[in-house]
Amino acid sequence: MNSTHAAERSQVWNGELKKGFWLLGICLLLAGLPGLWDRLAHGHIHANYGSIVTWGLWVAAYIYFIGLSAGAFLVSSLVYVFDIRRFEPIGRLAVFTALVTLLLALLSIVFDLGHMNRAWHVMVYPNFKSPMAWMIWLYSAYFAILLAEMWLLLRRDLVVGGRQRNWRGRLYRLLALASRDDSDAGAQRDLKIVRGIATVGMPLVIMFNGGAGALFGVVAARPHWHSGLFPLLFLISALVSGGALLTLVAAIFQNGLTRNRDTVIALGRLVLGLLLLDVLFQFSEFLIAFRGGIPGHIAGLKLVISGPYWWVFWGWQVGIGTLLPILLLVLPTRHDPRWVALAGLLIAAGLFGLRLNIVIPGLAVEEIHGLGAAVASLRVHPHYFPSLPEWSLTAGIVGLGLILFGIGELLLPYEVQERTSHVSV
Amino acid sequence: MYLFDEKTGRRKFLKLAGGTATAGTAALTGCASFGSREHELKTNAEGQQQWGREAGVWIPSCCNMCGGQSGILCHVVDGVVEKIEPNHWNPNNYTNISTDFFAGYTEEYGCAEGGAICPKGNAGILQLYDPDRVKKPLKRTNPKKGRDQNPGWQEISWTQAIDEIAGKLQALRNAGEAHKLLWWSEDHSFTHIQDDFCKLYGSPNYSMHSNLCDVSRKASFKMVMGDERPLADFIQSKYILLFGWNPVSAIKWVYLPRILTRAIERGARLVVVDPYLSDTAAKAQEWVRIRPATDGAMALAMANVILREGLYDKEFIAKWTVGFEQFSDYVRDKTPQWAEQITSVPAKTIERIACEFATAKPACVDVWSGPGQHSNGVQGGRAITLLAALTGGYDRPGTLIIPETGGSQHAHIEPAESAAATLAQPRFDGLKDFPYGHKSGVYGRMWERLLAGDGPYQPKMGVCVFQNLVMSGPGGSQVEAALKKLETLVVVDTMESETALLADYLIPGTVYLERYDLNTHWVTWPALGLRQPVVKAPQRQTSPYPYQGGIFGQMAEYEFVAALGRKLGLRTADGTEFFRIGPLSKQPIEDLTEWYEDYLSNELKNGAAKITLEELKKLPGAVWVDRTGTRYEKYAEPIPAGKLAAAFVDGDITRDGTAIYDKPKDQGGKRIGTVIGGRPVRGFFTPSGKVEFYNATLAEKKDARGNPIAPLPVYTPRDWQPDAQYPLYLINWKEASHTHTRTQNNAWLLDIKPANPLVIHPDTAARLGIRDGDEVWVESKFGKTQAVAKVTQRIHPEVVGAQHGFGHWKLGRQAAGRGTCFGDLNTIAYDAVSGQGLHKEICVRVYKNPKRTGRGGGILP
Amino acid sequence: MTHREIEQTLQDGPRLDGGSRRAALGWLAKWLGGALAGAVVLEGGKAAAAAAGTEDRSKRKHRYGMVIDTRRCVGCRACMVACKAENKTPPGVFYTVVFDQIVEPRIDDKPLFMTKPCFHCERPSCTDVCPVSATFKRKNDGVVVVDYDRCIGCRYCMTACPYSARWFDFGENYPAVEEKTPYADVPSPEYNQFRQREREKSPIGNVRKCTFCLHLQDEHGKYDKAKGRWPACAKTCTGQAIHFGDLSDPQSDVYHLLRERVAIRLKEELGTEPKVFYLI
Ligand SMILES: Nc1nc2c(c(=O)[nH]1)N[C@H]1C(S)=C(S)[C@@H](COP(=O)(O)OP(=O)(O)OC[C@H]3O[C@@H](n4cnc5c(=O)[nH]c(N)nc54)[C@H](O)[C@@H]3O)O[C@H]1N2
Ligand SMILES: Nc1nc2c(c(=O)[nH]1)N[C@H]1C(S)=C(S)[C@@H](COP(=O)(O)OP(=O)(O)OC[C@H]3O[C@@H](n4cnc5c(=O)[nH]c(N)nc54)[C@H](O)[C@@H]3O)O[C@H]1N2
Ligand code: SF4
Ligand code: SF4
Ligand code: SF4
Ligand code: SF4
Ligand code: SF4
Ligand SMILES: [Mo]
Repeated sequence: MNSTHAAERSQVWNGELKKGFWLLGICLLLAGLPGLWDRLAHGHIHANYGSIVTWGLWVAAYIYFIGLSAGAFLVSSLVYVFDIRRFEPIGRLAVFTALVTLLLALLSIVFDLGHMNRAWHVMVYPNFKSPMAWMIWLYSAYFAILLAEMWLLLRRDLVVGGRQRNWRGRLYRLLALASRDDSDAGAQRDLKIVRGIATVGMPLVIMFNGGAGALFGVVAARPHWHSGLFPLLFLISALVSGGALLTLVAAIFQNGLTRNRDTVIALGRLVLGLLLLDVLFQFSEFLIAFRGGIPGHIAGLKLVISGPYWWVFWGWQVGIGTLLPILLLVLPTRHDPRWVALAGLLIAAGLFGLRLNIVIPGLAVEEIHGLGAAVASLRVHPHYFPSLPEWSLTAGIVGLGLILFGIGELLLPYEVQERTSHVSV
Repeated sequence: MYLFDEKTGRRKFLKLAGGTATAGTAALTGCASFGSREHELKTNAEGQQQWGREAGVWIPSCCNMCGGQSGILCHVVDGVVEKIEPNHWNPNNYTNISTDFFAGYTEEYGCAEGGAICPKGNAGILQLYDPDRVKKPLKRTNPKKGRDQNPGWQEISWTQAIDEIAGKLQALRNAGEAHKLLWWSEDHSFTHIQDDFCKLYGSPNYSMHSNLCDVSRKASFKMVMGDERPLADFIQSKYILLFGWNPVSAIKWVYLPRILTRAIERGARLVVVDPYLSDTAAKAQEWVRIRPATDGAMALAMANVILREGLYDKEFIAKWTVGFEQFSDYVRDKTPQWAEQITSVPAKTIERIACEFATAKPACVDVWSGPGQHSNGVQGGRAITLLAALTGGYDRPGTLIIPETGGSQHAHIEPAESAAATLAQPRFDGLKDFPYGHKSGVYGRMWERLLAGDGPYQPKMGVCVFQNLVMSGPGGSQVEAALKKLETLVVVDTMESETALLADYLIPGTVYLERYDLNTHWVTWPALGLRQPVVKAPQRQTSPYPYQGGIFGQMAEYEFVAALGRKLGLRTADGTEFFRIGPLSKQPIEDLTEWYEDYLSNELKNGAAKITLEELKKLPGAVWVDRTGTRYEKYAEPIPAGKLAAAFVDGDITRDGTAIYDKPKDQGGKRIGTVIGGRPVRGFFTPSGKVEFYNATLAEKKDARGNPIAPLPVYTPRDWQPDAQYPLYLINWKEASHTHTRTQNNAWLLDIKPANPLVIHPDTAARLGIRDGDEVWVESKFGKTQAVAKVTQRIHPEVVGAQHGFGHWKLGRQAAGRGTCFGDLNTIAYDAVSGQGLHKEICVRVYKNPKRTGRGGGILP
Repeated sequence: MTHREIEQTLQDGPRLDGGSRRAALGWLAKWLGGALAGAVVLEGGKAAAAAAGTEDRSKRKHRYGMVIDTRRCVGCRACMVACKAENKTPPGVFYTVVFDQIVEPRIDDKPLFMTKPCFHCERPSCTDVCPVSATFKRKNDGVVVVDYDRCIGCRYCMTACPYSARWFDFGENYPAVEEKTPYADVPSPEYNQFRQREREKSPIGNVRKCTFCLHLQDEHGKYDKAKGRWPACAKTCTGQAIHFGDLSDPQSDVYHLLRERVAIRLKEELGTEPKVFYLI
């Protein structure tokens, strides 16, 4: 195969992909509007969760997005903390990804609250025993860190870009926050600070994501969740999903099919390793439950593998999200960034299945058998399938994410400029 | 991890901090919290003042969500019923024997433990405020009638409604056809005034719902011990044997769940004979899974064992019964083995239960709708109650007690001469033909005759008050067809029931919270509770006559009846305009409500209570209770000398068996006793004055179909038997969640029971390839319907069954389309001895609806 | 029992046999323990000890709890409806639920009836997960409450309660309320807050639960049965199966019963220490 030809094709591909990306983003965003309206106008009345399965799609989306965010952040720390050059081209993108997905996560969970306008209560009436409270504080801190890091990484480019006499220049000047310094020394200093922050951020994000796992893990009432493995499981799957998403995003926005193809392929390898680790963890979870014979735990897992939504596990999580990408990443396709990017997409999507399979079966096993039959109410029923407004709002949030990426690409200088690439970290 | 582990010192510190901190420091104190810490919740003093328990009024009354008439206390604030609670002064909420009730009873609180009300009693609020209620009189504009016909209701004024309906009644009467009016009513609510109306108007065809209910039980008991409705004294019993009676769930009186479970707690053994493991059977130590309508055979076999083993009460039998020899001869070959073939109950079980029952003292046996709503129910019930006779189980503590009622008394009226001719016409249902017919009439016979166009005459008009004839009787569509034959049908209902759908005039009724009634309570000593309006229209209504009015300004049923009567100018024999002159005050009373208050005072003054309505209202809980309490072995009580002096003795007072009446028989004398053992005693109100194993008068009688009646409680298989084509028995029952066909629009009750799945045994289901939750067809030789299967061991493998009352196509938006109505699988069916409607006698086949399969069980519709 | 003995019992109040029913206990405990490992069975003395409470607990003014007699419960569900009527809970919210559970080894699918309000656990697992301290156990009486104005509606507490005692208010209404009949004006007396139900306003969007009808307490935190100030479910119970009272008051029914009868609590192994006991 003619390599220039291939490169050209890849360029075209890239362009197409971006267009597709935008189109998809806009479609999803539009699809989200009815859901948004419904949520704002009618609260939770059209949501399908109830008092047995009390968390649904939105909570699953939330833990999914925070997983993505944490994963992306940890990949970025490979660059900024561990100084792994191979991933340097996507360092900023990783931070940006972490930021965007965190935003999506926050949106998902805010809409899930019964009283969105009281979210601030967490800050003024905190309860130190609540894993949810920890988590909120941690992600507030994490959010700050991400913002700071992002800004520092972009600062010099913003200063430079701010010199343009157009809207972009004006925007950059605004974002640069009165910073004028475009010296290499300044950039070096920025990177040092970034490194410092990222080093602090690492344990924070580990805690934060582990905390999300703990949020579930501490619930002794739910055998499906109540496992010491949960914080770790969350962490690993966060890494997998974040890495996978980055693979995809890098392929689309970071010339991943052309200039940075090696980065993408390397990412693919990393993700494969993590994915295998994740499979191991999952497997041990199943093993312990089934061999241990704890009925509640088994009941949850049985729901996962043979309940009404068995296909989420077998088709989505195992098939699409695990087996297929493993194949893509093991077979020779692993050398083609397009296939690797596809694997990234599949893994990232597959992990959403995993999230659903954490949240819902954990709740759908009646705590006292017969509850659903004791009362005639759709709110008191162990079956849950998200309603149209739920899907819609979630689609909208995903769409928003896609569009944020697009806008980010348009507006932000997030690919490291050639000129500054010699700055060492 | 637990709040609880906090050190006290730390807590104190926090408290201090909390104490000194003022508003605005929420953040601070909040931050100090480790674990979810207590803080003050805001309260709403204004709301408390306006709506709290101390606000508004608590009005004592009686529930009428079913016929149980439990006492209630209604909290009314701002003209809205906010809450309904049990009335502890009312024995009907607690127990049926007085010693239990009065132990710890105080005027201030009532019975010590406090009474109860069932789910429906609690849900009365939603019955009152059901948005689907009928609010205004409605007139039909579509002449076509049917399930699928929209009546085209036109709202009319009360004046127009009274004018037009009275006009039709007047025309009928003027034509000398007053007897062509058929009238149906419920059996307890404002029945006396309806009875009076029919008499004064000139129709002999006043009927009420008991013939759908328990007249077969009434007949069984009347044949054996002369009383229609003995009450089981469960709480003092040591052995309770129930045949087809589900008292803790089909809560006929709300004291039943308590006294039954309390009896078990005090050491009684409860045995329930039923094809279905009812919720009562769930509390029993033993469930006897019997084939439907074979209870009589089991009872006879038990008698066989008791006689063989000599376990009967010889003394009681010798002194207080007749026909023992004939009976013993008859049951000699009715062995447990014989019964096993019929009942499917193992002979050994029958044998054991017979011995247990006959040796436990006191033991009590009772039967209700289960066996009673089959075609062999009267004789079956008789065989069952004779088990009580064998063991002396009448009117002794812990057995079947003869109740005493009588707080109030319906005042006898003499209609004017103008009514005499039509009143003398035979009843349309030929009630006379039923040797143990009940004054409630025989609905089934009416439908048959209307449809066939025969009978003594063809009725033209019908008034149906508080009945859902179409869904309550067997053979729904035939009932519909029969009702359509009437020229004019007036229905008084709170909802647009399936019967109301056929009406020419639909008159809005009142819910019990809007009206009066005097309720005789079914406890073993005289007690009477008042139902009174707890909510009403903001102002008194003025047209066509003044009256108070329910929440929509509608007339109470008795006011509607009185208004018709007044419009028609109905008079008693002495020329009094009955519905204008107060029966007690003898003064003209313009206001219909005040007139009825006077009417009720009159009934109270006539009865044992001897008080006025106003006085009754002031009694604690608005309940009148006779303090002398439950008396036992009343049959052995001598007739008091004073009473005897005024009595009419039908023969020789020194001869055993001579009947004694309160006045000569031709003056409507009522039996008050018999000479037994040389003494005039109360005895039993049977022809012989004793408990009758053998009923000699029956031997001379024929049933309504002209067939002879066995003077012994002979077991005959019921008429409709399963066959190869329809191999399964279909039965039905009541559960605590609903009343008949009237509460299925009540959202709170639908929460606890939204539909009535068809219960089927796993073996049967497996054979038919039916899984839990599957939609199935249920088909009989008369029709077919859809149901959802509930697969459970709780039922006999040859039987399927479901709760009665669902499957509405009207009534209200919540009710329509929920669950299954089995009425069309049956045809018009009534018992020829008592007139009892036979709701439980159906044979079906069940098969899967191939288009719909299960949704995995549950009770969701 | 003779007539006299019955009279006697009535006068003495409940004097119930606490005979050993270990065999029955075994399976019941196992089932009641639910999906989790077998429940610990508290018997006579031990239950009374638990009822008397530790030092910490005895500092409390009242320790309210329930003793529910499964032998008396007939599964009528009056308690569920009475609670609705008292607290004006919307569709889908049931502070107590009646189970008619088929206990496997019982033949004939004979159900066991059991009403299940919130257990007002001594060590509630629901409160400590609340991120905003909106739900907590009150010191004075041990009642676990929700501050509707603080609760953000995250529903974490619902996942943490092992007994499904918490309910989310989605904002649905019964027809009588939805269609603005006069009943729609009636506020819920919960917490003495008398809230009128309005869209988007608390308690819509909040988690709700049984309050032991604490709005019926007087200013000293006492209930008064004679005045009708008593939990609505206990007041209506047709089987008289729900005993309510102060577990540390030796005069109370509940104290009495725990001393004399065999009681179990659900899912003992979770350490929640429910204050609702079941007599079996
Ligand atoms: N909740 C509620 N309570 C009610 C009523 C109500 O509508 N709802 N209605 C009230 C009225 S009017 C009445 S009459 C009473 C009736 O009270 P019950 O007599 O208890 O009425 P059912 O439940 O119809 O029937 C009782 C039992 O008979 C069983 N059965 C059916 N066929 C047979 C048979 O052939 N043999 C035997 N042994 N059992 C059989 C059924 O399975 C059922 O369990 O309930 C009163 N109480
Ligand atoms: N298949 C089957 N059929 C049965 C039975 C059974 O077990 N199985 N049980 C039988 C028995 S025991 C009985 S007693 C009968 C009962 O049968 P019915 O006496 O007909 O009782 P319901 O079916 O409740 O119908 C009562 C009607 O009155 C209306 N109503 C309710 N309250 C009021 C009021 O306050 N005022 C007015 N004006 N109307 C009111 C209701 O809306 C309803 O339309 O059913 C019998 N039918
Ligand atoms: S049994 Fe229930 S519905 Fe019937 S009168 Fe009593 S409380 Fe009302
Ligand atoms: S039962 Fe559940 S909601 Fe109630 S206190 Fe215990 S843990 Fe909390
Ligand atoms: S739903 Fe409310 S009470 Fe429950 S944990 Fe969340 S904020 Fe706390
Ligand atoms: S105690 Fe009150 S709030 Fe709790 S279940 Fe009973 S009635 Fe409802
Ligand atoms: S009211 Fe009493 S008897 Fe009825 S279900 Fe509730 S606890 Fe059981
Ligand atoms: Mo009845």
